[in-house]
Amino acid sequence: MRISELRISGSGLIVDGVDLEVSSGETVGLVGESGSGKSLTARAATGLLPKGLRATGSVTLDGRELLGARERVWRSVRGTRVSLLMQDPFAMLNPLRTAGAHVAESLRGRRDRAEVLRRLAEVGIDDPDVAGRHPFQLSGGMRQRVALAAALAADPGLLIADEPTTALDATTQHEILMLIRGLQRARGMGVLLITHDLRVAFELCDRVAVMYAGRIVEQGPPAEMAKAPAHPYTAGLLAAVPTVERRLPRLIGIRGSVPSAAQVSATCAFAARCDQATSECAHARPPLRELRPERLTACLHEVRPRTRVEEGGQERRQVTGDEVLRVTGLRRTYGSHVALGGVSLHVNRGESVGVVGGSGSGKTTLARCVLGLVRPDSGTIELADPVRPRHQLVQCVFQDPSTSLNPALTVGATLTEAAAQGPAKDRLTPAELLELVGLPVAYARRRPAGLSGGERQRVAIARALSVRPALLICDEPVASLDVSVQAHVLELLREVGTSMLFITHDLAVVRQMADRLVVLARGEVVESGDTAEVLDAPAHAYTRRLVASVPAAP
Amino acid sequence: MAVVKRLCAAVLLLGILSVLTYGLLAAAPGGPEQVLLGGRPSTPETRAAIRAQYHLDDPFPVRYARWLGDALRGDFGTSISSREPVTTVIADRLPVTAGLAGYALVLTVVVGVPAGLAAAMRRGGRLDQGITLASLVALSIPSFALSILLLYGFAVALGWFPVFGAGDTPMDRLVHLTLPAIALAAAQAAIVVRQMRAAALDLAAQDFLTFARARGLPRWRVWVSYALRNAALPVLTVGGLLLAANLTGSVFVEQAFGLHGLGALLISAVGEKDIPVVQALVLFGGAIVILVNLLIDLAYVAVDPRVRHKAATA
Repeated sequence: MRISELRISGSGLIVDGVDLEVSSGETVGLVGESGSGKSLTARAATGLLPKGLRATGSVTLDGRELLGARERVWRSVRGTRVSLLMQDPFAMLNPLRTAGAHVAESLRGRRDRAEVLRRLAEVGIDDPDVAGRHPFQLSGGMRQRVALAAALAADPGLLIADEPTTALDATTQHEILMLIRGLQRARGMGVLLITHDLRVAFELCDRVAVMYAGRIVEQGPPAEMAKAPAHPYTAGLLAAVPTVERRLPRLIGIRGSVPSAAQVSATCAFAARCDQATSECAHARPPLRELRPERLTACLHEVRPRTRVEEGGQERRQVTGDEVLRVTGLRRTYGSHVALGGVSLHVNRGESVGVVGGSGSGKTTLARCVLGLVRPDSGTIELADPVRPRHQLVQCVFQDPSTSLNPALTVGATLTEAAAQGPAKDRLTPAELLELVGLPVAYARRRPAGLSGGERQRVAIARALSVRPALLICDEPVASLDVSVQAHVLELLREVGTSMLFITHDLAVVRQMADRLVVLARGEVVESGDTAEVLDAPAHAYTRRLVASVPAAP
Repeated sequence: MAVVKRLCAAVLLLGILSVLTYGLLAAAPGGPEQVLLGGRPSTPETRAAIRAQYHLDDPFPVRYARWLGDALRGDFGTSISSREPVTTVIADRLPVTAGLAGYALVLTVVVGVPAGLAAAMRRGGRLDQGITLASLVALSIPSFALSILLLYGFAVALGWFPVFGAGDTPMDRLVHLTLPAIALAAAQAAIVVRQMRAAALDLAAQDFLTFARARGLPRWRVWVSYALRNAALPVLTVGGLLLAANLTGSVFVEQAFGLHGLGALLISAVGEKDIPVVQALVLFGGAIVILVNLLIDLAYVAVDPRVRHKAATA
């Protein structure tokens, strides 16, 4: 498949001239942050753009022009020549049909049960009973496998996988990626992998294209790109990716936020956020130039090697002996499902304790119990101060700031309201709170819709801090944020310095954030200890599996 | 298991309804004898005869039990005004109303579902705007006003349909019921159009529909087993409730078209204080609503494996 000069516009320009080629037998990664237009590029390449968007340019498959083709032509191509695998395994399958039916309906030619089972076995589902189950009876990883079998049922030459593992937890993510790689090799098909995660793309792909504000800014083999990025944006992204191997003294994000493609159509898209920008960058749009064969960049300059932050002395925070939280023997069951099977842990004042585990490990139930949102079946939760009400002692930062903030209230109103729940003595004003999280005071008049994802999460943090809680629970606080923003938010949480219970599935993030670590599996603590010790020398098999599934840092 | 539970709940509901219905007679103004006497002269002898006939001197629970026993055997007593058994009176009227309700439901589904789907597919276009506007108009015209408009236009001015009556042969019946069914179905079809449009719009944004298209599935399969089947659930609920409403609530339309259906019967029975008939009709209406709801629940179980699974484990 060859995509050239692809432009997509709706009410504004979204994708601005993308050129990309995928041959059979190769895996190409398309990496970009949210809003970069990568998913729409995938949709355009399968003729599935949402209503109201138009694409111009050219999409050819084996020399045949498809862009602007009739729906009938597309239908003859989809499935058999090119197939699309999407992000959310929970939404991708028809809830009313069985797994087997999904595969069977996509097959061409033979449609008997034996063939369905063979196809399911190809994606690693050996249990023939799965074919008769409905999607809601399957785990996320299983669903993604079923979807993959369905997408490949008509033996396409090209698979476009749009964030196929983003909604899965780390170990499953790794399994699915390895499965895609195995299938790609066995079938000799082409794969276009779309992801926001540089590590995933580098691990899997033969060639990686980095997309920013609707255009491709750099392209090349992953090894070279990781060693010497040829575009400052790539360099910034690489610097912002947290590593599981060591704790960085400072986390560096990219300043500013992603512009829309229309705003930067006549300049270098990255100029406003670039440290190396010169006046030339703002005058004309730099073309994608060839550095070496296979190596393209849209930067006029030679990129300075990234300044590695040298490992200074591991400045540890002041941790005192008194506890702000002690949880003993916490149990909670939902019907026959054991969410928490007797969990005990404690957090000292000033300490940050990480809780890691896959989905279904009970992390979120634990957080909800401590917050008092869920009543445990048995076990005790002791907080620092038995007199103050719980909501003044523990506060929470949730995963998705776009749904955890009330869209109807201005930021100022949200913060005032939150602060009013605290003690009446020296209440924090919205201005103080905004300053605390590094936002301009003028933001108090805005509503959440007028803020970027990272800014919203800062407001959510400010809201949690408004009652001066003794303990801050962070439930996947950066999981819905882009890498460049993630670093800023993590750095902010480090600076805040409150005692923290940091819940995440991302070991690289927890390495950066936690002093101590508790590993949860199926509602039980399987391992705990100093973060560095646990991650460098995991003792429990489950922890080892978690650590092994982290994509290698670039 | 869950089905049994729902059945039990339905029986319990009917029981409560029957107590309330029977209470109607006891609470009637002037006492039950007065009501049961109807237009007959009220002398001590006739009153005593009535008391004896209806066992009115027994305590309430005993009377209720006797009445319920009779009702279960299909005996709701005798209509006061016509002196015929209540069941005969109702059986006389039921075919017209049932035919009207069924006809209206068919019209509602046949027009409402495709129109809603079409509106959703052409979202924001002329067709969508037209359908949305038409459904708004249909919703806001009261059925009796629409009845009169239809009567004037198609029966009086154009002469295509009869003005009055229900017809005798099946074909004749169909012709006679067409205008009333349209009048009854208009507002309901509008509701179904809106439900269907919303459900389909909701679906169009779902990944599984896109994923189905991305695998190159034929169009009919995407529409039938993906879009229609998933949209069926909310529409089913509304459709069932509309059917129940049709059977008991077609009063205005029946009056306007001079149909001797259950609605007309209910009005005259209330007017003449024909309590046995009112009792039977109320109980019948309640039973229909409960039965239809039960059927909707069962349909959910049949259509949605998630409900089926829950029903099996609960």
